[in-house]
Amino acid sequence: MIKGGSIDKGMYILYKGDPYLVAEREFVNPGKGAAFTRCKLKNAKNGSVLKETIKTSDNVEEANVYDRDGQYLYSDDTFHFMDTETYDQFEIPAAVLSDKGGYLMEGEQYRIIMWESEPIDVVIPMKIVAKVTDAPDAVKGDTVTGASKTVVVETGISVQVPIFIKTGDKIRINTETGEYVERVND
Amino acid sequence: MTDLSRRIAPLRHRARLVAAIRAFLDGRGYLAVETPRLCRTPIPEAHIELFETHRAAHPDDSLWLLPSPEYYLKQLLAAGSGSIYEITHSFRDGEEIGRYHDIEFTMLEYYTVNADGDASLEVTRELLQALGETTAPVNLSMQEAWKRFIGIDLAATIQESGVSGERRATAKAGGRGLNSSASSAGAPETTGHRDLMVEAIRRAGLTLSISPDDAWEDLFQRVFLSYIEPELPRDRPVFVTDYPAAVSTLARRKSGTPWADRWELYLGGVEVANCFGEETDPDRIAVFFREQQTEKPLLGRRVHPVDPTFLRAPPLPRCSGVAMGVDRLVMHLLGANDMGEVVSFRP
Repeated sequence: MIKGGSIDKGMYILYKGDPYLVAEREFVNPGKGAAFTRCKLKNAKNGSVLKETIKTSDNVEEANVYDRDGQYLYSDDTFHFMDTETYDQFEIPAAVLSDKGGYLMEGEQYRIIMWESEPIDVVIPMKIVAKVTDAPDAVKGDTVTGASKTVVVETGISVQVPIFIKTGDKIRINTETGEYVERVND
Repeated sequence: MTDLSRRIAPLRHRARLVAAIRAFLDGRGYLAVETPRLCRTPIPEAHIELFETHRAAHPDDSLWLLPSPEYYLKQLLAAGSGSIYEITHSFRDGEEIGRYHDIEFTMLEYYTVNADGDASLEVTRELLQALGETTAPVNLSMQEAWKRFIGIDLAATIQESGVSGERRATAKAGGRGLNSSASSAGAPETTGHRDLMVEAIRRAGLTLSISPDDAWEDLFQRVFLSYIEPELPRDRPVFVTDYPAAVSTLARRKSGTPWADRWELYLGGVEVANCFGEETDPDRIAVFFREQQTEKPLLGRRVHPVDPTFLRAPPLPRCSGVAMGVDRLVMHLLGANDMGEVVSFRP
């Protein structure tokens, strides 16, 4: 058990029987009354987000999570990984990964967060480099979209990029915002 | 540039703003005073953890660092000071040291005599204008805020209880579940009704978890902090008015209503000031003191002695008091993101 005041961003807590990631937390003290931790909690099983305000003096149960390494293989309806020590294969449901699925690179090793033998999260880098697989030519005189266009990268997701980006270029993408950062030269 | 040298420019702005606050209040006839930070019998407030200190040669002589200048300012008001203000450091042990909080911070308190909360709101509006706040503020009552943002009729969760403050203080010490405004023995008062609040929360579809330990006031605070405070307009000052009288404070109740003469000012979505049309009845103040003293040890806080004759003779004159966090005000006016950017040092 921890106190509500010790809840930290990035921590997993047990709430209504499910593990939740603390996505945001803020100390609030209404001056006349008790102090609280206001947080946004993300259900690690289905990705739904809750707002909750917990008294700093209340008890909160930390979710007993642990790590496992896994190599990302491929995805169909779910995401397939392999334990590179035992060669065991396992799956992570798309709902658990939500947007993160679009940043997984085949063959890469990832740290997977486990809870009660179930994978509940995959740790991905803040930025990834991905090859552009489909880039339309820039439309001349198109001022409505400004100086950007949409391309598809090797992981299958679409990214807004400047018009000079071509098929085969490598680009750096911010995985928190989904935004293009820069072109990467080999 | 070092971190400290980067702070010199904001400190110059801050000095000008503090000088402007003083000029504004001086110009309106408020008496500027300096009162001690140390005190032997602070006003008891159950949720505020105080710093305690001792003199080396008198280890039994407990002194407490005040969480606001209220204790001394109210005595000066009772002694006939007229409208009065102080800008001073305040200390609260239970605070987190973070973006908007610190254990030592600067507070402005100004009391206006022969005034209620509405009159203080007008003074505060003009003060903000004098400090360069250009957007016009809006007023939003607590009742209206609950209706607008979550569709809950807050007043419907509050009832006239007829239970005297004395009896409630005792009831609360033994068990939880009731919250009501302090009043002198025999007078009807308002009580937050826990079950009605729980039902309203469920009907509104809020996902808030409700524990059997949550009293009405806990739920009121948690709903407000989760669903209402984050929705308050950030592009203009907001005065949230008419807090429930069932949240026990030293604000007087607006007669015939479930509301206290109390408002809070939000700037950029952050609470910056709190105002009470002050309770002046010595019996009601004494009830509040006893209730807070009873609750302190239940919340695991140290109990300090209180002055049983506080504001009894002479009593507090009719007045309205505003407590404003100067660091947060300066943050807002300078567009700073962290309190650390607008203070010289943090303890």
